[in-house]
Amino acid sequence: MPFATAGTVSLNGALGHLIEVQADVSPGQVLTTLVGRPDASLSEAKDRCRMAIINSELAWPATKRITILLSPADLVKRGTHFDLAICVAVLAADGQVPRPALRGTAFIGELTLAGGLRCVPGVLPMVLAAAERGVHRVFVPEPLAQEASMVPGMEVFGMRSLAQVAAELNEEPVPEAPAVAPLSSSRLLAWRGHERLEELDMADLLGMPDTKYAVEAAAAGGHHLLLSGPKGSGKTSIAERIPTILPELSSEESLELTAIHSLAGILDPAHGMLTEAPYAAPHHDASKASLIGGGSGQVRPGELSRAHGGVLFLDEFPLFRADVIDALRQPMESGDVTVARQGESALLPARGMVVLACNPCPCGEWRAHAGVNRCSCREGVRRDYQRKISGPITDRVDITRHVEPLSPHAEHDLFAVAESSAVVRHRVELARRLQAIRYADCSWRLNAHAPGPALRERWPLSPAGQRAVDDAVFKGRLTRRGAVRVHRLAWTVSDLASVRAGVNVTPGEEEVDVALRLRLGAALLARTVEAVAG
Amino acid sequence: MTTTAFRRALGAYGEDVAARHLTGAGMVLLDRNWRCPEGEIDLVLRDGRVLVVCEVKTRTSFLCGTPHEAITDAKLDRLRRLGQAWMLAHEVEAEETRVDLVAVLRPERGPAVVDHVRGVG
Repeated sequence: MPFATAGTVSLNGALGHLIEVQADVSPGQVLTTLVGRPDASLSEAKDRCRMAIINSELAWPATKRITILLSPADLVKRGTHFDLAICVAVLAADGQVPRPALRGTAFIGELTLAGGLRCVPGVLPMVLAAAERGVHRVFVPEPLAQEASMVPGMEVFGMRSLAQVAAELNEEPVPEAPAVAPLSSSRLLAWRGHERLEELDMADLLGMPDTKYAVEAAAAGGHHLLLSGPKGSGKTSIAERIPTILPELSSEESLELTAIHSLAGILDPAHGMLTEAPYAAPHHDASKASLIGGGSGQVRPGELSRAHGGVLFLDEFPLFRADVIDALRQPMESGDVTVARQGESALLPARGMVVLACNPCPCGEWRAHAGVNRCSCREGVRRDYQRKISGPITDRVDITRHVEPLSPHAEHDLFAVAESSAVVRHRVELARRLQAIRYADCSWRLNAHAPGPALRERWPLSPAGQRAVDDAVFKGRLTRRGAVRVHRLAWTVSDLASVRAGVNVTPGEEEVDVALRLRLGAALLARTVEAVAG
Repeated sequence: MTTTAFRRALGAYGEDVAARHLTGAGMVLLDRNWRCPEGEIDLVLRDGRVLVVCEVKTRTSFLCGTPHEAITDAKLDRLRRLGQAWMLAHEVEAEETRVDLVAVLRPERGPAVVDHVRGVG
């Protein structure tokens, strides 16, 4: 039977579907048809494949009718990485490579007219999807072999050309071929500015015990954080240092983050799996699609997804466009992004800490308490600005902190010792371990992601603590959503206290009080801060 | 030999080879080079109860594409209409008709290669 099947993967967001490329080569009117909902770039594949086969000194069946089906036929397929699978299926149907060699094997790669392979983005999520569907062997362009090898138990063949793939399948000696250019070679300038972030440490910052405690709590429980304060008070400095106190990613998170970066085409294969908490700080000019994810046709992950498991920092967040900020609401709550495109929707993981920073007014000088108020903003302008800050988005932020600039003499206090990031990270790790034990049988790992009903039922506050929360709701200081957030925060505060004291602390009145202060932006008591920092 | 004369001779040679090949395969030759205002049928044959309109393509090399690729949709349509015209002219009625292609490769040395495609389109 002049018929053969080769496997490949189609990506829909971060989700991969195993695609069977079926080729039939039989007598009839000479014609090549490609069916099974290919998009425009994929329809061109049959021309690329024809020339690639001919120029690889293999034979294109020029006297036959060739029908290529991408199955399942109802799924829209896009991308150029189907070329290799199409060529292999045609060659197998024509008897030029053995059909049994294609079993349990997936082929990923774009072809040039000369028959060389080209790199495509998203190989890691593709190979992951293939592995789930029982594929144990995969052929990819040579520079992507390392990325594909991150999937456990997968036999990876990094190839340079179609001729090499055909020879490998025929178990013949593999011919020479020119090297394949890696994907990231399009970056002309080797900019190393981001390495600045690797030098940062919490010990660089003196004072700010309040803010440091809030940041530690946010990191421990995975809470969203809002920092407000006049310019020069250190909002950006402390936000940049949050990744330094985050523990290494779990293996699941690491795989998800690496898959997202692969999908965005920004994965550096030399680095291997991404294990460190990511940090993204988009400029306030960012569009909705760049932040949330989008793009026409193929879905591209946004900054929010790229910060999965780490920190997304929005400096001067009131300057972001209103619709961009509104779009953050749902993902901040659910931890994933659904991008809908033309009758299909793609789900991307996006569970990072969102850290917002803002000035108290547009000029950044306004102070509520300080003696000298040098703010030059008109009252109306300031009120508009504040209205933009307080709204649905801040209701979704667990912790609000007002950052005050350090007094000039505090900077020269030689006795003040700032803790290093390593010390704080150790506490965060321990606090997270407590949570992992508590939520062992649940789908979430951190306090911030625990659903309200489950918390109320299985991990309630002490009666006195619950009374304090109810009281705050009754007086209108908290919304119902806020009450759930305080509940989660109280657990984080307890976990940090447990780590500090070495005994098991459950959320009582004291912890709820701290949680309420964190939530409402009130100053923390010295003993709370010292209990942790001291 | 002029180019035109050479091509005509090559065509006739190919048709001879094709006719021998098809009759050898059990088909009955009914007509050769039948013309009407619409065009020409190279070979008309009977294969069991099926009337076969056969197009013969002869080449000395496949450098400029295969003969198979020369059969376009328009050409197929014309061959089918010619088949109907032939039946009308000869007052016969076949239950089924088919268009076949015989590609003949006549290299400069060595034997000719024949490829018979049953049912094009």
